[in-house]
Amino acid sequence: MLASQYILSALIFLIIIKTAQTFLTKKMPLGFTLLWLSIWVVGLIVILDPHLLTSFANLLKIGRGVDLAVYVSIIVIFFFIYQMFVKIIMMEEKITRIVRKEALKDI
Amino acid sequence: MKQSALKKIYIVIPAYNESKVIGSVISELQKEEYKNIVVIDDGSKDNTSRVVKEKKAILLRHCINLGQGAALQTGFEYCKKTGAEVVVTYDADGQFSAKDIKKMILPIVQNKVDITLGSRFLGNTINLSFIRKTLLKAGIIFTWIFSGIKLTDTHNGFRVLNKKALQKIYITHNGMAHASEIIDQIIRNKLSYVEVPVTVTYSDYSKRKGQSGLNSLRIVGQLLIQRFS
Repeated sequence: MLASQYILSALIFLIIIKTAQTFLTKKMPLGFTLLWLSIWVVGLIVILDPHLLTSFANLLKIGRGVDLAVYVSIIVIFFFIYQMFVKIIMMEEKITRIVRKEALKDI
Repeated sequence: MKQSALKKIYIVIPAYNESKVIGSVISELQKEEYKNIVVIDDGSKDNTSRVVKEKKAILLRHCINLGQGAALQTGFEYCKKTGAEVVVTYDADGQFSAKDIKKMILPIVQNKVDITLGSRFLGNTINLSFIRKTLLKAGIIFTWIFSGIKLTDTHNGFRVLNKKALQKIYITHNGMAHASEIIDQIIRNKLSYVEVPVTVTYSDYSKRKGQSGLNSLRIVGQLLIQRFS
């Protein structure tokens, strides 16, 4: 195993432990925890066995495993950004309703 | 105008950190005998609320700054609750002339249209800079492309709504993008409208308070995101 594999694996272990802690303190819902963990577990498998990713990439007619990883990462990141964007809009709507209700409470 | 008619007219003014000018804006409106001047202090950090109280206008206060769109909608909610017949939206920075309200209201009280939209390009502009004029013209083209409506002035805060328009229009854009949202809702709700010439005077103060070029781009971004989300 290469040094980079050790370092990246250790980082992912830390993330997995942190995710588990957050879930146990009830700060993260089960569904999101499982999704988050599965992403990192896949990442860990790919780091430990890079050929696996290359084989899968070849199946999809993509030359290198790392290319596939970049494509998938971009899609996942954009998905999370979209989710966060929707959440921010919903939160802003809730705040607006509360502030407006307070402004009009004596009417 | 008759006193009974004046009682049903509500002037809605969103204000954020406008303590320097809000007093004179209210005084000018009171001079024209408008009784119901509703100022929504949108979480100002200065003395806007105190000045409004001293001028004996109606004060609604947002505990945090939400944006002009949110402040206008709060004003609309107040008007709905108090049974307003005619609602005028008016800027707090002293750019408008209270004398223009009468001609803005006329098509509404004559039941000709549901909403009147002030147009500085049909009327007059004083001290309008080239950059601002270009941005406003770009806004007109943007609205034409995305809303399919050709107006001469799309981002003018001077409007008058009748009761029907007040019930139909609901602003969800908290920020400055509400101006385009109102136009969209006019079309969607099939409200009748007419543009009325008004005078907009740009002072050094109002220029400082106005929209920057960067913010205009942000507004376009917000509108595009909402349109395609």
